[in-house]
Amino acid sequence: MRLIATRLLAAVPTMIGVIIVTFILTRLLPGDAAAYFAGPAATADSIEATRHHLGLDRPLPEQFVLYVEGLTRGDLGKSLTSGQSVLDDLSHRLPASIELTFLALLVALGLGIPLGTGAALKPGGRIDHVCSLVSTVGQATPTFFLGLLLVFVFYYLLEWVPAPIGRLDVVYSPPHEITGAWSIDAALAGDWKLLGAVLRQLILPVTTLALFGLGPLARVTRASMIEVLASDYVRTARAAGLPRRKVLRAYAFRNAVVPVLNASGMVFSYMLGASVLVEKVFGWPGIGAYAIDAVLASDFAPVQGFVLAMALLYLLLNLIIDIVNGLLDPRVHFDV
Amino acid sequence: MNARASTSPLLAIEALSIRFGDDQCPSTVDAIDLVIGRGEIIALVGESGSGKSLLAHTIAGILTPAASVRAKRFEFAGVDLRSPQEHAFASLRGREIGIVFQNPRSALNPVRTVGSHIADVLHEHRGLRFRRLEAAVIAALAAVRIPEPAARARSYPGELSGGMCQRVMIAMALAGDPSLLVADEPTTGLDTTTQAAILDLILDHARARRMATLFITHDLVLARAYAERIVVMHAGQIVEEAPTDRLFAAPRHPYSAALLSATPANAGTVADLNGIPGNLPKLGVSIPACRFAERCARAIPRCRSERPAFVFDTSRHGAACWVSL
Amino acid sequence: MSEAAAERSFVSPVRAPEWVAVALLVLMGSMALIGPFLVPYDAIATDPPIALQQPSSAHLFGTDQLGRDVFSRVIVSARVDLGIAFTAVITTLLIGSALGAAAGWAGGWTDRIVSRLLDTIMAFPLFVLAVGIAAALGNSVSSVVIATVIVNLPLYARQVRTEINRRRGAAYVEAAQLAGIGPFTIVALHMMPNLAPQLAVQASLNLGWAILNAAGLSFLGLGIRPPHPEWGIMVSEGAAYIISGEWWLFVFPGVMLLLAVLTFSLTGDALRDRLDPRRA
Repeated sequence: MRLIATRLLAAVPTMIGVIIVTFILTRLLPGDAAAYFAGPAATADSIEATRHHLGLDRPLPEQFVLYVEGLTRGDLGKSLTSGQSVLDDLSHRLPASIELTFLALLVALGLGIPLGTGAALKPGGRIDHVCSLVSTVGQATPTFFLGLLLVFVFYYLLEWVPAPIGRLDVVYSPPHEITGAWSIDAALAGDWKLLGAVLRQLILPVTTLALFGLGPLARVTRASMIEVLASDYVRTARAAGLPRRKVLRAYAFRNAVVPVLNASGMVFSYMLGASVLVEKVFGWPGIGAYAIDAVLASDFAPVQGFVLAMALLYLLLNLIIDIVNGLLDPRVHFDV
Repeated sequence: MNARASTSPLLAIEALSIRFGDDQCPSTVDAIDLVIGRGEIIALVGESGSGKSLLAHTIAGILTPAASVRAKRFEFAGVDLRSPQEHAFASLRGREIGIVFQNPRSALNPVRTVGSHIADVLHEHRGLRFRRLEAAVIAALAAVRIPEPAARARSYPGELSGGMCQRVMIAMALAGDPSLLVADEPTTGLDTTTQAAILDLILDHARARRMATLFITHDLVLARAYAERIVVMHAGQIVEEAPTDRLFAAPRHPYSAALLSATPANAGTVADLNGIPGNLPKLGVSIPACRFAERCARAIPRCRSERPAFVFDTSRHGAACWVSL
Repeated sequence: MSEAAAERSFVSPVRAPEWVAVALLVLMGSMALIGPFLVPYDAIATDPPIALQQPSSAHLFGTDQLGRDVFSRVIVSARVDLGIAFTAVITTLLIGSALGAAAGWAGGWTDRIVSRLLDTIMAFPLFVLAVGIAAALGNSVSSVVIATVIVNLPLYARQVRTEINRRRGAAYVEAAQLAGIGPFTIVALHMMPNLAPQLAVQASLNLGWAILNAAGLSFLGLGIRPPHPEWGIMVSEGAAYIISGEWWLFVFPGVMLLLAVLTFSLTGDALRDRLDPRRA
């Protein structure tokens, strides 16, 4: 418990910095939001009136104070393009992004850890070479290109997956939302046909994003495993006559996993960034696509909200990782 | 396989060499012979880098795959261990042969409790489970004289002192009831009182179980206090072997004599302390047949060209030297 | 084991990935430097009648929706993308090192402020921050460069800060100070050269990421505006034609991006293997 509190406290100054930076960024957005909102037929006067109405003519520091005040009330402003409050927009679209990124992280871990372990058990062997190749090429491929390539091969050429136009094919209606993650919601409702349809739409975007994170995770697993396998305590376990499987599981893997978990935090951060591109490619209705549309329309409140939300997500995940770390590794408590 | 019953030697090694790299490279451990009888307590002494640990690891079956072993004879309780090594050692490691390492702290898994270490070994070698296993773990900890064993079993290695960790390692090594215990510098880094306590512990168990002990150290004083026989190693070659008293009374190899005179306990004053000149020969440069030749005051040309044969006298005191004392 | 083999020198035999890295470097370098002079067609001129033609001997990579030759456009883009990446990386290397050195040397408030700044940057998923910055600064090459520079600052600043901090108390530094040499000179002439290999490796690997960053921003519409050719934009424009089967519009620029990033990854790895003896 104390651990969580310490971490949260340490995050406060960073959050302050984040808020300031987001505010500065979005006030710099070119294009006159007032003119846009006033409409194409506006006169200079009506634009001024709109500006005053939106509070855009007040001095910057005052705008900042108003902004922070709003934040404490949970008010992230209003989107000029959708007319809704940013908070509403974000909460509607957030689950889609989280479902996508989180699933992708799980897939990346599920593929990367075995790959890295296999590579570490026989350095220089075939699995090691595959691991190297996948890492290097995976990290060098632009995410958007990979996504488009997958669409071309699996949708256009092979017709194995449906059209990449969002979370669900038009013939289906979305499941009753409990978590917001349609895969879970469909499963909870017991609607297996719907679940299948949801998963079919998820395959390509999740694969694209997962392949992006696969490289670094496999690499870290491999390095960590190699180091652990060469350690004194693994030697002791082997010398004590423990069977190979047991040594691997209880003495090597447990220890090797810790750095991998920490790396997952970083990888998740990269994936959050890349998810913006993936959402664009696959027409995924998440917060990334929302933000990009807002940017192109010089609508700053959504962009502010988006950047803030992303930073918060990242913070949250790091907190979770710290906690899991504390559970797995007793040494954490001795480190002061 | 009742390793204690018969009278044949427990461990018999003849002309064993360990080398890294191909056959062109000089071997790190060079054609050594070693025989350990049942229940014998033997000390293997030598400087750092003399190959003692390599030999220990080879006997315990955990030699690094980067090294290769060649021997005319390498038998443990009748089992041929030359090759394939993995298969033969699988049933011996941890069971018939136990090993204790130096740096006990780093030799234990920091994220697992001390009790689970011992439980793993007990489960593997004695098939115990659940409550019987728990009781056996506590008993094992008590047997190595760890106070409050039930509480200690739930501690992590990071919470224990070096001496305690070493006791845990000993408990792990003894769990399979081995007939040979290899102790590779078990007390290096511990304070003197703890050193004595640990060695007493090992010896007590050795005598009680009639377990042979190969005790590796660079400290002659410790060797003298605890061992029946001493084997002296230099640069991968065994140079002398003798019952303890005889070695200290009348060493035959110049290196052993030099080691003795370099021991602070033997010398009267600091002025009397003689260091041994030179360093261990580097492998790869042209290396003399007797690897002590370059540092020996008594060396003759034959020492460099022809490896001295190991010659035993009647009282089981042997040395490999053309110009023995 | 012979002693010669035991020592790793810089001039050890070249291994396979290194050959690939060198070959790619040459390819990229020539595309960027002399490519624009050698391309068969004008990269901007449109020719609607021959739009969307498959790759052929006349047009190696086919033509796009406005009849432009894809091959020429891909080659010419090299200069843009690589130029942006190089400019960004060099700038961030200089500024980042300066910041890190200042923080590592001075300690105290300077260190605290710089560290806070770096922490704030790193609290964001980096691409998201780049999107934010590029959006705020408008659609141009410079905004992409600035975004990349800011986002990559922590990478260099932290490394330099740690190293300078570590060596701050070293004997040779004290001696130099006593001799009256100013801190700027000490850091620049005595301490930085020690860091040069590390930074070189970092920069090389970073170049790959900078290219991906710039291309990603352009793909989203935040960087260069058409009609100027740039790999990210080309992929973005080509995306619409996938479902009608005209694959050459997006595949060729995409593959070129991949090769460009690969070039610097492999180069960085090779440099690291040679310059960092600990990895032997």
